[in-house]
Amino acid sequence: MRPTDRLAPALAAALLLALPGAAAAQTGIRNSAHDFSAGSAAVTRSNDTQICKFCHAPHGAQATLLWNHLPSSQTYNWGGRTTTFYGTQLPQGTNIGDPSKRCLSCHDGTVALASLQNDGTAGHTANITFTGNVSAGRLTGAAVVVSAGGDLSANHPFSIPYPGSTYRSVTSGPLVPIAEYQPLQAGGTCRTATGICTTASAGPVDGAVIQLYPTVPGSLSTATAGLECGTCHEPHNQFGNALFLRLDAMSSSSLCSACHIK
Amino acid sequence: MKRTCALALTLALALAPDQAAGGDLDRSKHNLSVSGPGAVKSTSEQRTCAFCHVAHSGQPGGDNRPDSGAQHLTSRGRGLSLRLGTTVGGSSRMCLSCHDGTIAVGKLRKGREARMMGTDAGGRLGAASRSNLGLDLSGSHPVSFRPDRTPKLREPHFGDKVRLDKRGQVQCTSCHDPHVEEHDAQTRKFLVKGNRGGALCLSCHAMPGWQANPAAHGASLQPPLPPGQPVPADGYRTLADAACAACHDMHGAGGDSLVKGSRSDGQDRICLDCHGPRLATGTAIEAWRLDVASDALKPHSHTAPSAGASGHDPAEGPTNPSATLPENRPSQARHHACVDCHDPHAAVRRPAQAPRASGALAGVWGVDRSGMRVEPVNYEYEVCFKCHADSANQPQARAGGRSAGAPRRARPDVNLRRVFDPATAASSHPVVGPGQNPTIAGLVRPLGGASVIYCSDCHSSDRAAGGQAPRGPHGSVYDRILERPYGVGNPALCWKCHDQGVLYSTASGFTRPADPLKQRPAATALHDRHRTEACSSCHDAHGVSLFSGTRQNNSHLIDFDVDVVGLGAASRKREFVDRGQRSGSCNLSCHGREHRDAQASPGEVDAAY
Repeated sequence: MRPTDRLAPALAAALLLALPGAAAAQTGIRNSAHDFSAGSAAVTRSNDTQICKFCHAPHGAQATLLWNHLPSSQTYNWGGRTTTFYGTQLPQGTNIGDPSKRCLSCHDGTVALASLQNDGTAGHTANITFTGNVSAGRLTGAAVVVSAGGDLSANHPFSIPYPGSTYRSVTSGPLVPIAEYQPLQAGGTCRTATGICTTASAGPVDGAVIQLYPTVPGSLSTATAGLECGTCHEPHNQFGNALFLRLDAMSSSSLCSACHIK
Repeated sequence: MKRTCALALTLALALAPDQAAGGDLDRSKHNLSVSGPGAVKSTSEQRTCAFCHVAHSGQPGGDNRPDSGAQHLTSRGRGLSLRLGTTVGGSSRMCLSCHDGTIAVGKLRKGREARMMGTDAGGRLGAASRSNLGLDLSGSHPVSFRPDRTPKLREPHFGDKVRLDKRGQVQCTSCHDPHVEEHDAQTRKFLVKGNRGGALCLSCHAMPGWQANPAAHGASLQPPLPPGQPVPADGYRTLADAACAACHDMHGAGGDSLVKGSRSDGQDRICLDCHGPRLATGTAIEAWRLDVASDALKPHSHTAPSAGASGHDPAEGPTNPSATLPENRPSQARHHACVDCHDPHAAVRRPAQAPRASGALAGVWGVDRSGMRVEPVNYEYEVCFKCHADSANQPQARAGGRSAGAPRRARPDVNLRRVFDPATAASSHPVVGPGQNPTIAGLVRPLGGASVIYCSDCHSSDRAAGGQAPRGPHGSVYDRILERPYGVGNPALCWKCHDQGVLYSTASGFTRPADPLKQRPAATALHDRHRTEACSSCHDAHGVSLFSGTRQNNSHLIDFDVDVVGLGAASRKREFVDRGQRSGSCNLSCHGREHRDAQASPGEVDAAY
């Protein structure tokens, strides 16, 4: 082997590390902010050794997604608004879509993080305690997106249809300027499992595009597509972006541009 | 080696950070991120949306700008201002969070403050920057209020890019779209749509004369600025295209009603800067027709003070308690400004036929012959009657209000409406309707006994006598803004319409054959005998109303000047009696001679005709 042959891989590796942003893309749930296990590098963690059980359990969980965290009973509002600026109806009370309710069961700050349907013991005797951004066992701080009284108004609206679409019996408002939103397409450059994406959201990594939800699971189409928390966020840190985002929103506004044409 | 180099290069390109998408916002000055094209941009923040928007934990609506809590001055305390709030609200506060210069541009509600370049030392928009509106918004189009529906103001049509916010209020976003700079490609001011010809303003401000005529200003291809001032690169090139923006500033206007200029400018400056001697009009209209400024500078003129407020209130009218016009209190200040008589939005080039108002007076309101408000005026005199009829504060009505040397009448009536309206006049010049003497002799052609004249036939520029001045009482070197002199022995003004030759002949005044029985000579030319006197000794130039006199005693506009004409010694009267066509009598004492209508003694004038 010539001396330069040994040099080449090292050169490539050095280039990889030298490029801004390239080296920090650690993916996966381990040591992310959703890793509540005892040995995790996260700020908020518990004294339990398991990772998955805080959201999923193989037995004794709910049918959908084997969901294992107890739901919140909070009723939500949007600061008094009933529609978005262009007239799309906002979900009120408990009418939030199930995918977002799952996130809100921790992120509305009303349910203890350790409230599990199946905590792995016979009689709910696992004594799970949390340290970090918790108060009385519930999440506090910047990760709580709901204001006092169930007020969601400080957030991008969700559980709403994509402009021009229908979702959960709500059609996007009559004044919504459809031309200011990326059109939906099926196939083409979409690299999602469902094959539906906006024309602008072809991310650099397969599946990184924003995720739209159908009214009835499994029937996603361009005519029925809605937004939930999971549209922008991927809770397992699959893509390695800050805040569990599907597209990096810290170095550009390409996440916003995936839907908004401005 | 080549293969691994290629591999490294591919990896480098594939893992490069995501570039901005290149849309309208990214190309505009509101792209404040490192990739921004403007002078103000960040040296640290790469996200474009984050300066204003954030997905979670912002203000309701996702606003990412902190609120400085600043209070903005919204008005100068008149009219509409009474309905404006004490500060700005709604979505306009977010625009002002940068554009009032109180908060650093890079300050975010959620996220690290972005380091900026192109701002002042504190990170705020520089005080000298044109887009820093400051805290005094009284010179800007008002925001955060619900507009009235008036004949001149309407809600924009459904689907119009200009729109009110969801509370029905005007906000910054009614006219501006902060994401797109080029809807109006000429000015590039983030307008929601193009503003050529004032299209954006006209979405709400329905200017009846502007669109219908087209108005003279609205069709003019003149440059939109006074002669000598170059048109800025981001402005429209003609008056017709610039439209509203030629005279009005949307932000930082110094004059009332958002008129350009500084706060201390006189109200007429915006008009006179163009309507002056240097205006070059090409062949469409002669330049002297629009040169009002030369007249305005003359000693007697109808112009607003050259500095400070004129006293004109756009809402003035008969029913306005704080700005009543015609004025109803003697202590009320009088005022005059160009806009008291002209509506610059409606004025149109249309010739005039007495007494109909010319196109220059189109769209103005006035007071008609019955004293009622009329809008728009039909007749020129209706404009004049706003101030020269029922007003309670006319100086001539006050003690000491007459100028020195002015004639003094026995029972003066300053209400010119009563003087000129044939229904309420003893006799008058035919301004409102034909005069009382259809057989009057000696009128200069084409005038006749049934003619009607304008106020501005006598009250006009002294240049008008030579035929080279704009019509109207803008200014004159002669007192009372008269077109020609009206003095003792030289009533040139009267000769304009009354043939001097006829007047000084026996065809004018009384007629009476000689009566040898009574030893009375024939009556000679009355006016010829009195030609050394001023016309005003016996006649009032406007007329005599039934308040001041009677049709019997004050026909032919006769109203003696009591400083000149004295009481008859024996009769104790100062009286003229009309006895029919070219027949009458006088009882008075004048120029040292007693005039009697009966049995005159030697030395006295037998004044019965």
